[in-house]
Amino acid sequence: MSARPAGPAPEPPPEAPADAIPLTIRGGFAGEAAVTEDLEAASALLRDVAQELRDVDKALLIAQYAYEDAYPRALPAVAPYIWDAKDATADARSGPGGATRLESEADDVGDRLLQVARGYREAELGANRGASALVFMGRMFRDLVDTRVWTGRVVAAGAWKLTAPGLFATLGGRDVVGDAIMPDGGPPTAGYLNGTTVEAFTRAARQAGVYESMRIALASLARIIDLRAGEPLLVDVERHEHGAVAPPRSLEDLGDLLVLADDTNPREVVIETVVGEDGVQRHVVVVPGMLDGVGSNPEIFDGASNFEAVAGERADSTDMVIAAMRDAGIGPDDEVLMVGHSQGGMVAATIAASGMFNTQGLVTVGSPAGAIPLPEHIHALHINNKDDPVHGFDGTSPPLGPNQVVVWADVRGAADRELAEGSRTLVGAHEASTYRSVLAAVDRSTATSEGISPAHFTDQVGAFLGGTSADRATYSQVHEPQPSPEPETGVSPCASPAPHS
Amino acid sequence: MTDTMAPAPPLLYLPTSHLAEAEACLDRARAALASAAQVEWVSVAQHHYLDELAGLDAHLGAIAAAVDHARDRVISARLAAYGEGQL
Repeated sequence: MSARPAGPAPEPPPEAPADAIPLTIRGGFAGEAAVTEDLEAASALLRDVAQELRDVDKALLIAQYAYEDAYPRALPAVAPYIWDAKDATADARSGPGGATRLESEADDVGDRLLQVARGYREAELGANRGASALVFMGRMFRDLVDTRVWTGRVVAAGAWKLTAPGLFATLGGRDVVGDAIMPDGGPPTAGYLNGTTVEAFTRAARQAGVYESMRIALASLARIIDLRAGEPLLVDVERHEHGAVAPPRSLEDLGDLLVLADDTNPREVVIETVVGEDGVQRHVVVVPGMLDGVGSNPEIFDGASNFEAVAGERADSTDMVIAAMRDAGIGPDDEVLMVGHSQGGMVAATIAASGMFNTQGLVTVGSPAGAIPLPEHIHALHINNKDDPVHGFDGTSPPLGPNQVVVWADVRGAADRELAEGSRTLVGAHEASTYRSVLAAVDRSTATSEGISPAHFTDQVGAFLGGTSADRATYSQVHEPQPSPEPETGVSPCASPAPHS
Repeated sequence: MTDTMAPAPPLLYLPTSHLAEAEACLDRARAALASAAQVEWVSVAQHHYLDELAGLDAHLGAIAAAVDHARDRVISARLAAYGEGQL
């Protein structure tokens, strides 16, 4: 009988390879902006040091000349002492560890720091592990062709239903032929309608100076349609207790919460109160994405809120999240981690930027939140799927900084082919479950040199991801009982009024 | 026969002010490096920078010791010159 070896059990092998989804990571702790900032501080310091050393060198040289001048005129009893003084001064100036050498060393250190910064810059620029332009072109043509096929199948399925057997089968409730003709999912558009192509359009609109006027017009139009359709106003939030849950421990766990929030209809906000190992209560606020476009549905995560939130304005959905946070007892000094998907990411960023709460960290996924300026102290992680067009709607990219990390995921290049194929459609590329897989890939990257910036991010928000216990509550929307076509009669007790009301 | 006096030995210029100036510059250089501790390092390159700066600080300490030694030698020379009437 063999004895069980002492010590901890060996770690199980990872379930998926570290590069299951190719990632491009920019900014943050290992980003160019952070290194450059440090370089400037260090360079200024070294310039001061080098200047002082030049003054040391000059003073020692003058002293050395004085002693050399005195030596020939010194009496024999004095001369050896002067020679010693001259030698000691010369050593201090130009010896192996002298001021002259150190002066050049200070300059060398400056050069080396510059090389380090250049190395990080090159590493960051070379971090694009996604597909080449040729591969992207191939994907574009494939999706253009497949979209045409998809359209043909939809038309054929419609035509089949107009035939006598098709009509008979449809009325019978079991249309095997029609179901076989009809494609399963949406059209595969990601090859030509993705974050890059949408951002090219919105960037051009910004540069032409029409983006903002278009956004305001669309927000107004959506709001008018909502009011005309009789969408009831939000009047309150309702708390639902879920009791003790396992505290989130990773980015993937935050992805699980995003999936949970995005499964709600109407949308609900998830708040987990985590008790850290230090006994301090912290709050993880998870905000779902848009559910409804325009119309009479009692849903504030809608199109109008999108057009307002993309500019960092307080949309109805922002007011709802603030009301939920206040109902959860989150005070202005309580530490908060804001997490959001799509519109939820914009709302989370708006609340983080407002300073209403003590936001320590922010995670946005698939969210056009780049135009919302964040305070520098907030640790932000923006994650976007390259196939997902939604993050391109802000016409800008999130600024990179020491505390601002942006990750682009090439989900279509994922080792998991089902995940990759799912990312070909708009819904598949954008849905929260896809981003949960991306968050898991970012988790895995933190164990590699590539993932230094995300690893630093998770360290900085580690108090939210390693608690001893957690309680979960969800908040649902409470709308006025009777839809009112008159907007001025509605009173929203949820925080302050939205700009439109 | 007249008694001739020996000529007075020449006076020597053996300043210590330049060495004192060098020491003051070294103090300022070390203070500048010490202020690195006040800089809020934000990047992954932090350890690399601090290692470099620690190396520079050690070298500055060695130069300060060398200047101190030179000053000690100059003071000895000045005492010897004073004893021989050359200061």
